[in-house]
Amino acid sequence: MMNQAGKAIRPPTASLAPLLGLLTMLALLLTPLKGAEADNLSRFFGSYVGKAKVENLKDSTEQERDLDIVVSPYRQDGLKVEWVTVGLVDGRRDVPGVKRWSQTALFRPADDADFMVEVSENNLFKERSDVQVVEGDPVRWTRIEDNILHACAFVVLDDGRYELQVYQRILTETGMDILFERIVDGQVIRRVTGSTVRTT
Amino acid sequence: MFLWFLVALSLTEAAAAASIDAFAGQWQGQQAETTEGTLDADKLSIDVTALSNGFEIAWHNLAQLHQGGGPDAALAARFARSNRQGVFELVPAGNSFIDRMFATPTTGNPLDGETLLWARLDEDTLAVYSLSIDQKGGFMLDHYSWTKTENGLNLRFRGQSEELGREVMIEGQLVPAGE
Repeated sequence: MMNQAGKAIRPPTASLAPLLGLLTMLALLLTPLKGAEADNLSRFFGSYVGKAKVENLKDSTEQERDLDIVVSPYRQDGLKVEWVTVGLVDGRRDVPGVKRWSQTALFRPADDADFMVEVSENNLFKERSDVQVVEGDPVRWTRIEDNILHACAFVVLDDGRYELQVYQRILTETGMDILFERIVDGQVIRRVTGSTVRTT
Repeated sequence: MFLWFLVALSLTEAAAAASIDAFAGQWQGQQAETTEGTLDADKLSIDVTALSNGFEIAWHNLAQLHQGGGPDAALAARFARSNRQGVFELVPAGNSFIDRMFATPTTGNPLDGETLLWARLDEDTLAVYSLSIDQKGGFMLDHYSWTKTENGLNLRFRGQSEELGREVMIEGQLVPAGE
């Protein structure tokens, strides 16, 4: 057996056998946990379509929107959420004034915690210590609690107030319900409630 | 033109400094109202010291007191001006006097398990915020705001705990200590 440097790698000796045994046992112990985590995540994987009601609480107006959500795995143990929202005009999406928004969020497990942090596809390796939250860098994270995928985004605004966006995607028998709130300095500015059905 | 710029800049800085001065001193809690339960009004008391580049403040963790108190419910922090007008960053505690004079303001990253603390000052309101995220991703967000009134300060506190699934609101009045 040769490694890349051309030096021979010796097979494990008898003295290493107890260590290898211990490592094998550890691997066996850890495998079910990783599997459970993967199952926990994979329950959300799929494509969903549905409708939502948007309440603008500042001016007491309401809007209707079509939803298209895709939740899929990202790399080995991450999560990718893509969603398209279509702002309807009088319940229709084939008339002038209709708007379309498309967003994608990527999450990977946090290093030392039981939640996931958002990463940028262009800058996967940016150190979180570089983040200056008070200077306006947003922080985004997600977690799973029972049948709910919670996603939060937090930013300190220019004037020192904060904006918090809380997005809950709740698994149902037929699909996924959604609840979204945009909160500025403690006041709920916008609330979105909707339901979707799983298509795949 | 440049002279006008300098005058405007010095006026702006003077106004900001004056605003901090308006909150400086010891303030005694007189009245407390909570969404549930009771809270000793004395725990609303604060002590604010104006500094050349910010301020120091001593106050109580009202969310913790509301949940039954604790030995570390008393809080103190020093804030320095950030690059944003009216926004202050936390200066880490525990440095020497010289270090503190020249310390670069730093902030905790809540995604790394640190508590993010910052403050905001506008014309008549001083606000202090804290955000922390627990091991499971639940957050705690506390927001204190003290607004100047004819007789003292009006406190509004909102504590939001996702883990506990509850929100605590506290309102109260503070007057200058000794009155």
